[in-house]
Amino acid sequence: MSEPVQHASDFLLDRASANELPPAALAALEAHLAQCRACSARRGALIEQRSAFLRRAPDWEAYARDGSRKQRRMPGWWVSAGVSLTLAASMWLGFVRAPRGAAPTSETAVRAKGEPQLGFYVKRGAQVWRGRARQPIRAGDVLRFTYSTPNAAHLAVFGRDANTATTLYPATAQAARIGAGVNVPLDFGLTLDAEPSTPVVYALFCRETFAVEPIRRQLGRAGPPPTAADGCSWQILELVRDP
Amino acid sequence: MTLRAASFAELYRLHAPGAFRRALCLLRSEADAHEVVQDLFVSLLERPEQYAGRGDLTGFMYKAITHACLNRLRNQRNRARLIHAHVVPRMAPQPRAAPAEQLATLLSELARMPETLALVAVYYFVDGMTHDEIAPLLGCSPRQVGNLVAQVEGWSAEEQRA
Repeated sequence: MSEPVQHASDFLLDRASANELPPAALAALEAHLAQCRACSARRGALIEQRSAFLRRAPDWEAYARDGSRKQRRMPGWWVSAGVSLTLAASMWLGFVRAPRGAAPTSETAVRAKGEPQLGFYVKRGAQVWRGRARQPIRAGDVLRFTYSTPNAAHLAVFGRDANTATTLYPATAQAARIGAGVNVPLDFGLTLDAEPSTPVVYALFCRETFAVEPIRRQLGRAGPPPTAADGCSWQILELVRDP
Repeated sequence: MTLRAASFAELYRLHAPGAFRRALCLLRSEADAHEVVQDLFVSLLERPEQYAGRGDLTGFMYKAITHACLNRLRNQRNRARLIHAHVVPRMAPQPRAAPAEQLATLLSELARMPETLALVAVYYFVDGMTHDEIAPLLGCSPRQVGNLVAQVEGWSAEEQRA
């Protein structure tokens, strides 16, 4: 391969753009750019590419939203207000309780093998982390849910507190069809307020489609969740407030 | 400077466009490039200590994106087909980097190349960085970078013969 001609590299131009060059190096670069048409043009191209990128996604939240719409694989916790729901809860401690009495484990939510799993991420201010067992969650936190499943399935997610059950996902009468994947984000999030109740999130995965409302009504009754039909399994996220 | 002290929005504004540009150049897929960049920024939000103020952020971003792209290339079962389907780089190659045909050949070889050589190949032939610029990213001397570049050329020539 040929020896590259010594021009200013993109790395150097990027460092200059990020204000990371010492004054002397910056002056040397500017002097070079004043004389080198190729490098000057390259800097112009980089500036244009940067502007084009930022025009499309002017901030991180817009970028995360845009990316999650395109790919459906990436976590994107910055859900817009339109898809955020507020549940009555204040400080929550989340743990994943696997269905059918399996031992709780923080890793079940990231496996695509075996039973489908519901997982979640927590956003608190500028911090984001994957929800794990025995991790304190507070009022103001935003939870963004994901699923992992080895096979295509149908999914509905419900929230239940002491008095009622609410359908969180989807916003349609039938359960949403989901493809196989690991940590695939769902288009809804929960913004936690300061009410002192202790809601539980139920996800019902089924091989076949099902109507959401009858499940919500059954879930709204006291007692354990309705027995899962053949080809279905419950995934329960029990969210307990932080003392 | 630490990432906690820096405004994350500013970090994104300064570094995401360049990270995306490089990811797109290496992966040839906008969706993949977006995903890799998102992964990187999310990872920084979750674990800002991974930067730990070592060197400048641009260097850190270059390293992180390069590693992420190489991993993705290796993981793509159909990477060879994808790469050859996009021989002409979408982003105009830099005048000091390798010519387009050589770049295409190099990109198709990255997934098979030993890790260190792949990093050097990206920095030198794709990014057009100098030995002095590459050395701190690899933690070696500029002279050693020269040796590694020669090894990349030797490895590539061997592949052509095979």
